[in-house]
Amino acid sequence: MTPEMMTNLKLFAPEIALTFFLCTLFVYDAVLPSLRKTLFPLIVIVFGMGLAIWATADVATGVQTYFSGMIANDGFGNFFRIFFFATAAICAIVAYGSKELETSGRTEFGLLLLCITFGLSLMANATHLLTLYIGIETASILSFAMAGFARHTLRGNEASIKYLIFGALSSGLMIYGFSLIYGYTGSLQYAEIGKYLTAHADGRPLIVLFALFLIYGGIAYKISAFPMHFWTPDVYEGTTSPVATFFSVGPKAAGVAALIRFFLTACATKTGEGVWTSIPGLSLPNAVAMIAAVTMLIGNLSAIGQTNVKRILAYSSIAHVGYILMGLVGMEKTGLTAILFYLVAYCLMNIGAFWVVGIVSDIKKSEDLSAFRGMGWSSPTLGVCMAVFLFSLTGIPMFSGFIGKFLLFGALLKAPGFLWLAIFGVLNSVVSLYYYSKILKAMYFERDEQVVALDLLPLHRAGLVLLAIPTVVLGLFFGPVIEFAEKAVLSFL
Amino acid sequence: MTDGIFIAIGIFTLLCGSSVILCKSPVYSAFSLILSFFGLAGLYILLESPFIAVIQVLVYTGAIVVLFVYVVMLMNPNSSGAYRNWIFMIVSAFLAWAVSLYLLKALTLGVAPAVGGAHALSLKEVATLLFTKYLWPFEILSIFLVVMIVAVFALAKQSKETPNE
Amino acid sequence: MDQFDFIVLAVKTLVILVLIIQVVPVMIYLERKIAALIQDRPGPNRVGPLGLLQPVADALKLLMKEDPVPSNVNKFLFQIAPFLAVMPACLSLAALPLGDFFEIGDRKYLLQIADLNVGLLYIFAIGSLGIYGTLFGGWASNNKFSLIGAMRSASQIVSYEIPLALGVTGAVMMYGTLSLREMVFKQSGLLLGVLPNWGVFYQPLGFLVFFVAAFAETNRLPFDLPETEAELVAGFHTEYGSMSFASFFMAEYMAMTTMSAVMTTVYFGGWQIPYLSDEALFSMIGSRNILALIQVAVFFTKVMVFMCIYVWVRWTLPRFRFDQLMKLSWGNLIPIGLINIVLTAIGLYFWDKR
Repeated sequence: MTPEMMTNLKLFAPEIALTFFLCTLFVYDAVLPSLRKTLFPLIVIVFGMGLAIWATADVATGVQTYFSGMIANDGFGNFFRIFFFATAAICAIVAYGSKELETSGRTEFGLLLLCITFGLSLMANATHLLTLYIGIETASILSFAMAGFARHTLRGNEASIKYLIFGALSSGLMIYGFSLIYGYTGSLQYAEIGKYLTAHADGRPLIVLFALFLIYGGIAYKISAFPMHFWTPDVYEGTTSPVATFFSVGPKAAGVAALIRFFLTACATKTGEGVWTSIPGLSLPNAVAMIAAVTMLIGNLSAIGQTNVKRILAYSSIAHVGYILMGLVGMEKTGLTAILFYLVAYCLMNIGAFWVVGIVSDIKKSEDLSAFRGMGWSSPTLGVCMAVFLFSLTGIPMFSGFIGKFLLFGALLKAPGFLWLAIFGVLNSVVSLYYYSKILKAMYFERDEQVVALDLLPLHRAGLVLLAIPTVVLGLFFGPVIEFAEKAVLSFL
Repeated sequence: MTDGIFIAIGIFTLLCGSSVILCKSPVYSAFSLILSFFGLAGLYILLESPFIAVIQVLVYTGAIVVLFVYVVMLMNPNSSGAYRNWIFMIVSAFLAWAVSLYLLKALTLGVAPAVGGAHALSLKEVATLLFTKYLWPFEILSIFLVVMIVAVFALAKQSKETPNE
Repeated sequence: MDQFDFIVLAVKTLVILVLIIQVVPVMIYLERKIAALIQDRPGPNRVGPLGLLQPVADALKLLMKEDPVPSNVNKFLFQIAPFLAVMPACLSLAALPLGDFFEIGDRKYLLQIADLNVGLLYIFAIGSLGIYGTLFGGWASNNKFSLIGAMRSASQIVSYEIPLALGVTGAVMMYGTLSLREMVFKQSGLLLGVLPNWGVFYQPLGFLVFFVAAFAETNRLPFDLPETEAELVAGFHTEYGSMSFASFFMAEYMAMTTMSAVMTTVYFGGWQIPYLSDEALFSMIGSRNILALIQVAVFFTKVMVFMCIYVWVRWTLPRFRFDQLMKLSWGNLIPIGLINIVLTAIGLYFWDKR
């Protein structure tokens, strides 16, 4: 094997570890079916993720892109790899504790989870449109299967089919954009596309704008930003809660990473340590600002009238994508650091919120607001944790969500001329307080007619508390995470 | 003369493509899909890539559309009936035309594509590229395919609960 | 490509097409005679001496019979299905090399309609289109038995396309080309001084896989579940009368001819006579065109040998059950084909044949 191949494999080690555990799961399920019902799949997944995270930390520097320029090796990518692996491990634990997933389907679920994480990691690290496409398709197609998994109800099938049709449509549009960009610039690599677009900045035909818009459309589908957000409420409502948990965090972060990588490398030039300016003619800040504003608005306004808690959380996730995109407007390191921090905080609080919804729906067999009545009193752990998560989602001070939003607004104000967006964001946060409080009101200020004995597993209690604590702690001691994020952004290619 | 052939094949493909959407019976749609893939294969031959044209016929027309037709024949869905809203159809057709015209203008306005000098790859070059430069994506896809097969089986497995809500 | 070339091409196409269509009447006769031989009975011996005019009688009968169209069928698809069956059978003849070349004046013309450099792949691609005639014919007949026959046929053909391609991949690896004409040239000479340098001696496993898959692709016994007489009346062509039935019939025989032709070209040296090289023959005869005729005759002899083997197997072996059929393809032929590829790769690595 050539030394280049050895380097390639060493740098790809986390994903190879992931694949190894995928194969282990596969083989064990076929050879020892009796292990299916035990903790074995969970152990394999969590252990695999741990190994992958450890392998990430060991990655050598000095090599910029490997596998002939298809995948990047920088701190930014590593940050996201650790993020995805940790998220997947937490979601595996959430899924294990959920009653909705049948015991016999756990191995397949684990396989799907591992492979989707693989795809997400490809998406976030891609420097070549082919890798991006493979990552998006791996994540998407397996998500279609996961969406309809173990939920043999009409709702579940509807969710899966809607996701599939939307996904197929946006993939088709995206790859049309890829082909147009290839025809115009002659290359599929981000760096070379950027070089070509910068060199031919004047007299650029309309087709490039159209192609970039299509590519944005494909990625926007994954993060459920405007205009490709229509599938989110129906799919989140139709799938089982653990699956919705994973969907609301994993693909969003991957899509955001892919968006940042593609548009900052191909449509902007690096003009300083952590500062980018967009290529003349392609006004990236304005476009992103518009999209962020509309996404926020849609998410928040649509959530007001909902009665199904999962739909509320789905619309709130759309709104959060709007906030996240605000950080991209300034196109400099404060904004990107803010995005990375916000993603970490968002991961914790969103997984927590969806987990609570999952527990309640397991017990009460319903996901409506009415199922949450009196939860705060019948199960204090559940109530307090949910309150922590919801306050953090709103952005109330002393929680990590607040710090995240603060950083995002701060980065936004650094860029000239976007004060309107900051004010808009604050107003949207105020609106979001309404529907988050609706859940809290149901939990604490309404009583339930029948008192159902709440049956929280120790796993649930421990897990929720373990998620709630960092949500609060990050609101107070946010320094280390921000430094880590900043280092990651500065080492962006 | 190449231009004339291109226009003919292009119009044929477009007509078949629109017939896929407009036909009432799904079997006719599948049949039109076969014809439009043939048109695509013809376009590939015009681009001097006989290998891609043959692969297109072999994979798409010969396998994928067969599965489409298979499923359509097994499911035997009723045709969707008469179109319910003519005005909606006319307006959306008009919008589609407008977007297509914009696309046409955008595509041909001052474009000097960088790949103008590219030549069609011979079979040997395609094979070499696939095993050197693009080996890694090729192998990655195998993992994806294996897990996808597992996913399909997991979805198709009968559940112990009733299938309806 | 001037006027004359174009005319020659058109005439060549017509001649090759007619030649291969003429195999069908010959096969009608041979099938029944060989069946009779195997079953120890006389066979057709009424019409003409030794029954040799039987195909003529059959053709006349089919032409003059009524062509019924049942009332509730899907008219468009019902009437187009026979065409869909015959068209791929005819199209795939374009890449078959019937001989080397012939001369008119001082110009050389290949005895092949199109020397595609992806010739073998082209034949497989067009062959895979043969499913549609069956599928649409079975579905449009508005008849449950036809539909079952069509579905079985479609799944069988799709399943056996993979072993078909895998069997040939070993030979492709060895010859390094997909062009059928090149493959024939690479099979000239002698192997170990005794055997002709044919593909079958280098790729016995590949030939075996291809042979079995070729039977399944053409819906011939022992794989003819789609048209079993005992179970499904006549399968997907139950509802079709005279000329439509004749079209399906013709399509099946032409597909068999194409498969036999591919087998001879890839594994049995094509139009070459064993132990006699072209130069030797040319120096003996002196005229290129007569040499071309001899090559075409040799080619057709080899193809007819395979067709007789087809008929022989048909009347000897019993039929596969459907699950046995599927298991054979996915469980047995594909692994053997893959093993063949690995063995070929190992062999090529150590004894570089190029």
